[in-house]
Amino acid sequence: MTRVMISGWSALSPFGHGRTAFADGVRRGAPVALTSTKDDWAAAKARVVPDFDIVEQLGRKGTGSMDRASAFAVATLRALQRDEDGSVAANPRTGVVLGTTSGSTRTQFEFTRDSLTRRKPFFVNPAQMPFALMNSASAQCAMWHGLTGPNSTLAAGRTSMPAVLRYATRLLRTGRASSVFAGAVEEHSGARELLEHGQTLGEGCVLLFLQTAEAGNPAALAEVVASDTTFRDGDPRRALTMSLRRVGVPADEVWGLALSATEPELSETEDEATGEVLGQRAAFRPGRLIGDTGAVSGAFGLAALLAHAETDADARGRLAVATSVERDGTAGCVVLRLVGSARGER
Amino acid sequence: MNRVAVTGLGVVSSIGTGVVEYAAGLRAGRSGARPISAFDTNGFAHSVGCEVVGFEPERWITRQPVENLGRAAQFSVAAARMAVADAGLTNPGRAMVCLGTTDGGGDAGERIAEHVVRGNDIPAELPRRVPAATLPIAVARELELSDVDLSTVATACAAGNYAIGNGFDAIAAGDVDVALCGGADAMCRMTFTGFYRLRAIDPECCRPFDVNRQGILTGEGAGVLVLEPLDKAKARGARIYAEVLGYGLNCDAAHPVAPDQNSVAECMRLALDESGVTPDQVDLIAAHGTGTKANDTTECGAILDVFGAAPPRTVSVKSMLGHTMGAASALSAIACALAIKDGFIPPTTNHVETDPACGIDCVPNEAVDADLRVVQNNALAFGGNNSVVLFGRHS
Repeated sequence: MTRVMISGWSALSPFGHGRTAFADGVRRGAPVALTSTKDDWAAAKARVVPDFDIVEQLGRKGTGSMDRASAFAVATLRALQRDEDGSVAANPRTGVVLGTTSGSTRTQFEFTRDSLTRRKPFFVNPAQMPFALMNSASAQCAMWHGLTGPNSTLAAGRTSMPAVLRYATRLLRTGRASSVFAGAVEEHSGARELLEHGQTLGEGCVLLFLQTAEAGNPAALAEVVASDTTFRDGDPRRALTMSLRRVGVPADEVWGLALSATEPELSETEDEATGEVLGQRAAFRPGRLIGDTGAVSGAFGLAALLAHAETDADARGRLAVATSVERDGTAGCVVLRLVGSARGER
Repeated sequence: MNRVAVTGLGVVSSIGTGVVEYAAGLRAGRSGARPISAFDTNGFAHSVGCEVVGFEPERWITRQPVENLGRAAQFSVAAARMAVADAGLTNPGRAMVCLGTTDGGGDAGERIAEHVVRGNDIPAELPRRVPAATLPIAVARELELSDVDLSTVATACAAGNYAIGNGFDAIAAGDVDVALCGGADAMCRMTFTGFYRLRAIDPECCRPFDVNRQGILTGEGAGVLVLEPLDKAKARGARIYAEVLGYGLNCDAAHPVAPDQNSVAECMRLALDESGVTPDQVDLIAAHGTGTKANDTTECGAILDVFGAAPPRTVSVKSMLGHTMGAASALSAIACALAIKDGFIPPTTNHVETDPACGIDCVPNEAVDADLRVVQNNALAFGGNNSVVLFGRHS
């Protein structure tokens, strides 16, 4: 089977802008300070991406009605292309696959509010409409960066990372895409606070650049060995153990584990399930540092593994596992084989 | 690689629920248009849409509280149950449920926003209905599927075709034994208001390709197709509606709402190439055909680019169903499968005079009998997300 490789990644996170800010933050291991937020929908304390003003980041053109999530994705993709110094090279069959929960809830709510409160119900801002749709972030990535390959959005909530990687892997193996920017994005807002369960919310975006292991492609950081999701109604623990067993992770080859849940009860479930299959072991838990980032929570786990692997020679050639669980009983995992401290190999 | 068969169909639509009623509706050129009742339409000069009426969620939803599910999730469950029954599936094995949607539970989100705007408390069940991921989860729960690969494709108005494509790849590669694929959406205020503001809602009816077309009618519903490996379907003696021959995906990467003719043409070529079909072998195109000025001329221009001056007959089922958003290309795909199986072409209704800028034969107003071997299903979306699926007759 065609091997799928990660040849670069970047992130926008509550730790700051870019891969290095996130990598330094998770290695330091101190939680990001809470920010008091307030909009028309709710006041909250949250861990937000610092100093991110859409116009400052992307300029005025095309950003007048842009949602924060789309801006995150466009900026992260730009950073990934710049950071990776030529190894992230797109072509006309490069695709984009992003995970989300519900898109920009804030944009959707504002559009509805305008329709309900203005003198006429149709006095809404039509330019806002494409940004209210869940495919906005991936479509904007395509527009801003000229990516005409397959462009898809999966609304998989907290199990987005395994769902997105499985989908992106299919696009690569079938030859539908030559390479894929794959990841997830979530914005913070009072509107999103209204839909969540009282966790401290975070926000951000992670993008990976995926290619097949064909000759001529640049050196990779890791191979995507497996990406899997499954469902056991109301039983996320069982779902996660099933998923881990199906992909068949040899416990003695595992170098690192990243867990994504932040809610205490769900976090315990994730601990128990991974402990049952992989044995008790230390795990990275980026959610405790940057908050509940919803659809990006699994991707931040993956990014934390890649960041730690960069500075740990023991990681070379071994497996990294990132898991995702949701209360309804969906769960999944991603298994990577770390190629090594590829930063030094380039 | 497995060849992929369509063996079951499930439909919730404004022109008929269940595949038999839906097929009869398509043949008769039935109209789903009626005054919108899903939300308060005060202040709009006109408000015709294609709502599903008389839907009884309790008939389909028995293993979970109905109030936890949004309308799109309820439609999804109903369509999936019908599709599984239609396919005569008893033991699905390793399954996939992949549904496309534009708004997911967005109609519940609108209600939450309205409660906040009016200073009211938010009823506890509303936030549960919002995430789009609830659509396939509700299906899996109702069908008691465990060991199932669930996904929601949120590529706006092309989402149904994306879901079918994903299912096709999963079956072809042998990742799953059965795929339930399609799309669902419920009427919502946001879509109606947005298109109304853009002057892209027709006051009376949807008239694709007509010189006097004025836009879409918003609609709702769900369509689910059962896909299986062709060999296994034959081995168990299943009825085979059609074979999925292949599909194409691309992105305009240009304008957020206006389709790009070259890119749409390229997507059709991708689908034809993968399917090993030449343009002259296509007998029918089920167009995206929204009935807006921009869509129909651009899409027909792309069809003429690919198929030459005498393209296959090109119809739009949106003339009957309205634009059902994430369900649209799934319902259109089901129309393709039925057309192949039953040997007819559904009409483009409400048609008076074809726009010369469209330049296609849209099979106006009356269904015709036809021997169809290859049918193409087009889907275009905001954000330039294009997807084209090809179906072939199984003989």
